[in-house]
Amino acid sequence: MEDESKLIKAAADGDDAAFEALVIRYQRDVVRTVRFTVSEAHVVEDLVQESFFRAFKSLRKFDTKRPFRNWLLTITLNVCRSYLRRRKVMQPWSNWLGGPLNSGSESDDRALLYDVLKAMTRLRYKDREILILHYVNDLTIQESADLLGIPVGTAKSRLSKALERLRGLLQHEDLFKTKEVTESGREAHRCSASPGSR
Amino acid sequence: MDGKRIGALLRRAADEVPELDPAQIMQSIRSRQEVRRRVARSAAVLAVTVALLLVFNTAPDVTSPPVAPEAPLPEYMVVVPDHSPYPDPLTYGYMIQMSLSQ
Repeated sequence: MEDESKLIKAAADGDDAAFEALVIRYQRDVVRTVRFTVSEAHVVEDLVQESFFRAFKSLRKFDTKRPFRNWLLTITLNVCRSYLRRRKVMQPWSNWLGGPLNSGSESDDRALLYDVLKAMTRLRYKDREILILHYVNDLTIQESADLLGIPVGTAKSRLSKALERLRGLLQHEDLFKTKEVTESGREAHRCSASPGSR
Repeated sequence: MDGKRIGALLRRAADEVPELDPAQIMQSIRSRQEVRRRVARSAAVLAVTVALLLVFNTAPDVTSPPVAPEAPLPEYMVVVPDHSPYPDPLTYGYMIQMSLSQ
């Protein structure tokens, strides 16, 4: 986009308002990427700010022929990776979904949503990364591959394996819930995973 | 559950992620910039201080008093008696001190 190149150039020259316009345009993508990558809500703001700060510092080196969004997402993923490496203890996942989980088909859907998100946190980082880029950020396989610096075939294979592992985790969750229904004799919807299920 | 269904669920969850205030993000960037400027200023002051200390330590003639010139060395003459049976005047002769050279 021509107006985006002008914004980027102005921001690189020190125009705060231009950079703020970029923040407003892309903060949603960055926040979503961070939120899906790290499980703790209290660090999301810090990591988002760190991602934009690194982008701000490196803006002069940015090649305007490349898509800015993808470059920003690369920085965001690097920030998240550094954080996950530094973090010594696995933190419990904090849910951002609102709404009831207990009755009706809408809440069954929400419960499933909750299960999918919880299963995501139990995937290894590489699996989560490709799912987030393709489904959460709506990047094509080609764009995801370019961003990650891998061949398209590898990206496709990674995505397919990530989906398989996620399905496996969800099926295991279902089995666990089915066992509870049989034992208790009542329909109970438990959303906590059994320990050592990976 | 197929990939499309999982994708649809992930997108739904993504729509519910709360956004952050852009003004707060900008404020954070400005604060981090200010911290970097202060660190850079302190590093510059430290570098100048170290440089000045090195200058004063390695150039003593700049600040210490002038060193007196070395005193002239006395001159000696070897005197060997006539018909001395001893060939080495430095061992068996004697030396007299001449006056100090001007």
